[in-house]
Amino acid sequence: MSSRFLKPTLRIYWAKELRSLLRDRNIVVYGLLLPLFLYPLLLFALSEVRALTAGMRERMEPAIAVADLPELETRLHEVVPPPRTFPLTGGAGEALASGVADLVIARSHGNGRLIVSHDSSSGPSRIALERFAPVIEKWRRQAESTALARATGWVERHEPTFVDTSEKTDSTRILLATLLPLILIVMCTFGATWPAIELTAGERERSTAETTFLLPLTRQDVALGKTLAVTSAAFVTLCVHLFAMLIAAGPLIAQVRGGTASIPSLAWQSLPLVLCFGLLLSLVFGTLFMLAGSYAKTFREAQAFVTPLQLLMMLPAILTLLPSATLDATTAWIPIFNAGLAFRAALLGDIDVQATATTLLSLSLCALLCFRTTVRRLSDTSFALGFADSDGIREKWS
Amino acid sequence: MSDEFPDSTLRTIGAGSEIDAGKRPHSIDGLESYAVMSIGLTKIFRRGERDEGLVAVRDVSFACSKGEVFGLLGPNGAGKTTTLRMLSTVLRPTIGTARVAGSDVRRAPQHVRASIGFLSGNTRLYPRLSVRETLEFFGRLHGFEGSELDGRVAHVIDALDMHEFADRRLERLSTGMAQKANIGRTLLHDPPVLVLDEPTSGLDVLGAAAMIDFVAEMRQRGKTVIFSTHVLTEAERLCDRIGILNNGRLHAVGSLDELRIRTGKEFLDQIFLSLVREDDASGGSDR
Repeated sequence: MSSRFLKPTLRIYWAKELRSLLRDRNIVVYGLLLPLFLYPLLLFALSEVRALTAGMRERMEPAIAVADLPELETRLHEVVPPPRTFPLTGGAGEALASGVADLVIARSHGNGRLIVSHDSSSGPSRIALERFAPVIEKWRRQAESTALARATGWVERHEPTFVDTSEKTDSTRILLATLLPLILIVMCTFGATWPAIELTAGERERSTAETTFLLPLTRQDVALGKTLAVTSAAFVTLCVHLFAMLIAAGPLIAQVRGGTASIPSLAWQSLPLVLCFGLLLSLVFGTLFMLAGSYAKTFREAQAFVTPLQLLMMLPAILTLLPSATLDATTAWIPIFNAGLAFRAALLGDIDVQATATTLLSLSLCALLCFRTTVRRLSDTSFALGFADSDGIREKWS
Repeated sequence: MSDEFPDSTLRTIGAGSEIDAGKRPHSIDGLESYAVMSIGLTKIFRRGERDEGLVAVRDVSFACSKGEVFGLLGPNGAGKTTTLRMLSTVLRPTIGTARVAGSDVRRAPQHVRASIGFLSGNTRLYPRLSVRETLEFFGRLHGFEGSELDGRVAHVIDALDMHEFADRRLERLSTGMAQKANIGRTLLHDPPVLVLDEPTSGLDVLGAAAMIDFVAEMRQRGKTVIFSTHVLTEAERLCDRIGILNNGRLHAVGSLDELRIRTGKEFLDQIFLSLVREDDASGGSDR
């Protein structure tokens, strides 16, 4: 959005609005500083929690009461670090309640089925179950296979083995490409909210709206200047989030899932397309929130108007997380939802030209509609004075 | 200083014309000698197409010569602010028009805004800009650049003695300091016409006195000043001519001496009450 295409007076007004916004502590904190510190802090906190829990697990020696299952007991001891096992003397509930055992493995007296008891309200009991349930399951399957082979000659090779051929970096890449659009859209709404309220209800609350209407500018220029300032703020927030996530998201996901901590190889050559979608979304959110804010008399009232709208805007973004959601000829027409899907496709380098073009067209039309409605509203005297300059005459007044 | 419109103009503007929302403004060409000329200004607020609406201002016509101080007096709700808002292009006249500093409020509202300095309790300044930044912003919008802009800003800061707080943000200034900054931005582009809507409202005694001095100085500098007030002593001291607005109508216009002769009263408060009561008695309150 080059300022060379704008009238000098409009440029001056836009710059003034941006300067005012950048001096608002809330906008700087939520729009610029938070994204820069949020992800590294999250990464740090996550790694600390992970290290702490891993350390706790390492130090912990779960106590497992096993009732007459020597083979399984041997298997349990193969786990590093091994648990402390002992024979079950009383009832399972009693052993768990008294804290003598974290896990109780016994056979049912009636049908002989294996029963693994744990206490979900106890942390050590939960950890013990999490660590040893796979061992128990593996033992069960092997025992079953062996028994079946003995009885029927069944060969274990019929047992299917599921293999994931993707590398860990690939799955991280897909996860990141799925999460990133949602986070970007949500953060873009946050980036647009405060500036939109500030330049609409904020102006009315401070009694500066009439001053603005007395500037030697047309009202359309005033509305345009405000729209540009809010869109710029929302877009900058989106870019800062993108930048911060680029740096921190790879290691973050690696922390959660394990694996390499490098930046996943997303199709960053699609970045211009991602930014283009981001700009259109910023315009849509900025203008919509300004429109809502322009009907409020105070900042607080505007927050009450804008928040439901903000949540509504997030809903299609959340739906992009559905595995079945893909960008096609139909979904490409649904604003915001299409942006999320197009973001994902672009980040994965899986661009369908027709669907992407439809998305761009749909978002542009939506942005244009929101923009025109908002400019019309902000050009109206009722925005500045709080009452309608309505005299029944439809006439251009600038 | 001419107080009257030429006869032909009076016929053209049709004093007491019917209120017709669809009527176009009358021609006002050829009257450039006036700094401000209001011709049949009428404002009706309607909620919808079928609503008859509230007539806030009805057929207000007056003219101010260059260098004149014109006071609009009236009780609360008389239509003073609405009239001044129409003159300063914040509101669009329903009928009639006005010419301010040579530009028509209907045809060239942007030019009107560039030619006036408007000051009221509702025109506060942007709190996150400093006084200097505010003046620079207004100066740039009025087309000043470089050394000319710097010179004007420095001159205004100097003239209003704002050196001490020129680089402080407006949100951190006292009411009096902020008012000085507001006067500064009004004067920065040296407008030929100043429109002041109850400029002393909300100010303390010192602030109000400074504002009165400011208007007096503007008169000396040859500016045309239109200001509304309900502080009659201010009007008595400053105004060359006074217009009494009541119930949206301009009931009387003239110099203080002319109004004295018309009402037979000595002091402005007596004159004012007499005219307002006279208007109410004649059914002027029927909006």
